[in-house]
Amino acid sequence: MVFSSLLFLFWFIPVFFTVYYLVPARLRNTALFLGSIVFYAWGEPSYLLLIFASIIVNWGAGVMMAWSCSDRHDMPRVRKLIFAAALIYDFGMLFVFKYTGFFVANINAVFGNILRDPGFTLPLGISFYTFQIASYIIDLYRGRIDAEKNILTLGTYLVMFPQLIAGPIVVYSQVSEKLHERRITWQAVSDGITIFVFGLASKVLIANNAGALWNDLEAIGYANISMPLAWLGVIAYTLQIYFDFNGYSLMAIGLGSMLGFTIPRNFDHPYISRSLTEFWRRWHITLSGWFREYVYIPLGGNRKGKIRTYVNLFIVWFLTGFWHGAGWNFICWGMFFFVFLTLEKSFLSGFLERHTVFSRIYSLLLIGLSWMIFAITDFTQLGVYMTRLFSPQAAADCRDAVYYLRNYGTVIVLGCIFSTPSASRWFDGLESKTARCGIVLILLFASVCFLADAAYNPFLYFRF
Amino acid sequence: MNKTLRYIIEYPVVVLFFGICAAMFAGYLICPDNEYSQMENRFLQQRPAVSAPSVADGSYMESFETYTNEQVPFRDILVRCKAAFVWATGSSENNGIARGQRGLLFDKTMAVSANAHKNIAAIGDFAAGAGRDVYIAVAPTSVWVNAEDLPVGMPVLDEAALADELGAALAGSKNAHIIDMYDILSENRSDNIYYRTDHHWTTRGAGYAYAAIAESMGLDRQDIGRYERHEVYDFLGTFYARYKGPFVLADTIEYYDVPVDELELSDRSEHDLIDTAGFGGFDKYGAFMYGNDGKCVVHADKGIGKNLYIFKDSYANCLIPYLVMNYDNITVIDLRYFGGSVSEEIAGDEDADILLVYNMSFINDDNHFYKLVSR
Repeated sequence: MVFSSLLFLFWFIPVFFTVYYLVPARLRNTALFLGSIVFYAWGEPSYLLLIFASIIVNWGAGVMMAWSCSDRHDMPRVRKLIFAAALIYDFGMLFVFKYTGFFVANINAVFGNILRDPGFTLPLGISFYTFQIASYIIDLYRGRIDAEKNILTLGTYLVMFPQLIAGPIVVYSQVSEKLHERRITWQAVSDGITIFVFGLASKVLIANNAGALWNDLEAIGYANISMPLAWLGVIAYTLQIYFDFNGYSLMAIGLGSMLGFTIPRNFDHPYISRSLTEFWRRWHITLSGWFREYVYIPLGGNRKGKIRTYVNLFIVWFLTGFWHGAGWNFICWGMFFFVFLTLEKSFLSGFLERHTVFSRIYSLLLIGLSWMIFAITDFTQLGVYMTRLFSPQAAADCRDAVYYLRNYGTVIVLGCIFSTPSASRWFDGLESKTARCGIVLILLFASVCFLADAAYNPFLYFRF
Repeated sequence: MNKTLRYIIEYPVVVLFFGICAAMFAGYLICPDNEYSQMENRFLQQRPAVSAPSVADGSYMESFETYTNEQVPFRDILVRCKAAFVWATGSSENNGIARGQRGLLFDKTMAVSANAHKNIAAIGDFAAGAGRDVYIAVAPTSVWVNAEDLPVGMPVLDEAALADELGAALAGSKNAHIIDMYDILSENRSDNIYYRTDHHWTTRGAGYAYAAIAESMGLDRQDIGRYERHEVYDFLGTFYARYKGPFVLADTIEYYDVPVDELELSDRSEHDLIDTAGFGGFDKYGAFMYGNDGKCVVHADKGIGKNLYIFKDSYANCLIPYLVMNYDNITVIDLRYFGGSVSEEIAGDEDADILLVYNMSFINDDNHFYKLVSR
């Protein structure tokens, strides 16, 4: 099920929240667990088993790790073994279901057709929930948290519907307290609804419409578009992916708040960044945080000399790219950031610091181009697109850009405005309760209107 | 109680949000399902019945989600509001339909499809193997003829390239004759030859096409004006069903009472070419020839001594009243719904003329042309 659907808004929300708010506090986790199972199984019943297996394996591993080094036993090697086995299971599943096809295709390309692709479809949300459950088992191993003895509590953490499918990646330590006891306040529910509706509107009103422009370009064929239209496409996709993903994250945060949880912020106006380093502090914050916490720092971070630092950065950005998709273009996309982050780290950042205008152009341009590597999975097509962007011949007849500017200009302008902090600052400063409430209702109404007529409604980040 | 009331006033969003969601939920449960959308001219998904196999293979969930979209309370109002929002942003387009000059709506088709090449090849093979003259009348769409009225820069299907491809596919067969209708339609484009809100040509547009066909096939061109003319108002066609924006001008349908002895449809018989009751519904163009049928035969027995086979899409439905004036019997075949063999069918009357009437957008999209040449 997706948040931005009438099914979720008008069936799931009324039924689920009625049950959730009415059951006694001790049954809330059960309600949340069962509701999340329905939410997940609605679109993907077969992979439910994979989730159940993950819960059982990690819960069992946690309990056994606690048992192996407790008052009565002292078997650190057993503990280590269990930890390793659980990690191998978690990442093994991710590897098998997400990357088998990619490796089979590449091995076959080099050695001839020696392997058969089992053709797995990607289990919904596996990239996200693998990282979440790994945070539990790793933190447990490091002794930062205690093992969860109640399998339902751990299961609730893993399947919690707001963030199960596309993040934010909530590490266990952030919510463990709330998993055991949480209060639901009117204030939190009210704020949650407001955030949820903002997320819904981001997705339905801006991302979907900007995405329609981008999809048209593919249908027309990259070779047939003018240079201005190609640039319009870059802007449209840049806005689409932000409002799509941030919209999803906001909806998750809002729903979390309505449930009594505090889900961490995932985006902080990334497009106002003045360097790519800053961009990654503002974009998909929970993912970069996860990589820093569980890969970069354990590898030694920047504490082991210059060369090791760059090697570590390389590893992190290779993995970041590869996490986004089993394809060479995603690896290239990660490498693109590795190169520029390295340049910034070694000498560029000071220069960017001093030149405001240049640093903004530099950042937006590179971010936009990086999205092209991300969006166009075929390198030949990517080459065609790049040629359109930079060849003056493609600017001879720009009438197609006029058409798209007319039809999508408003969405693009709105997208640019809402990419800056000014709009949310203005809303937060609104004194009038009626005005705030009115804005939320108008956005909800407009989103419902678009949903009632929409056939086009995919979440980009579901592919990962 | 007092405390709850204070919270409700303090946090109005909470009550309003859950209230709206709950009310809509109740609406789904209480309101009977609509079977058919008049505005969009299509059948809607009903609430599906639960069954173990349909849940297991996911089809239940899929239909249920479609059901929630198509039966949402106030759907027509919501959908119209969406179209109005889009219009208010200055966009000329909604759901792939763009509004151009003179209130004309246009279908945005961005590229030649893979089907187009297969379809053109099938037409070429059919003409080569027919063993007699085959006339091919491919109508340009309103996008191509009314190109001046398009919103600036709108992407269009390259119909000229497809016409060239068709010409090349037919170049080898001496029996194949392409009837060029572009020139005559284009010269008369100010004469409302296409509906504003529908993808079809008008009865008047079909009249110009008839002139081109008559000239090419050597028919004695007749004047349809000698039959009684009628007008039907408030026609909102297929383009409108998708566009749904404000300030759209409805079309007027013209038709003539061309008498026939019998219209033999696949499941029944009628005695005229036009289903006047059909003008009462939303899909008014469907009144011509009682809509599309796999095979229907028009008997007009005027003693002319000439019969015709037409292979066609719905464009032909308002053209047939013209052709009836020149033939005794016309066998009309719509390959989409035709279950028989084309070669056996045309072997039934070896003296009859053969005419294909299609519009270019149909050739680009359809996938039934293989039936022309398969046995």
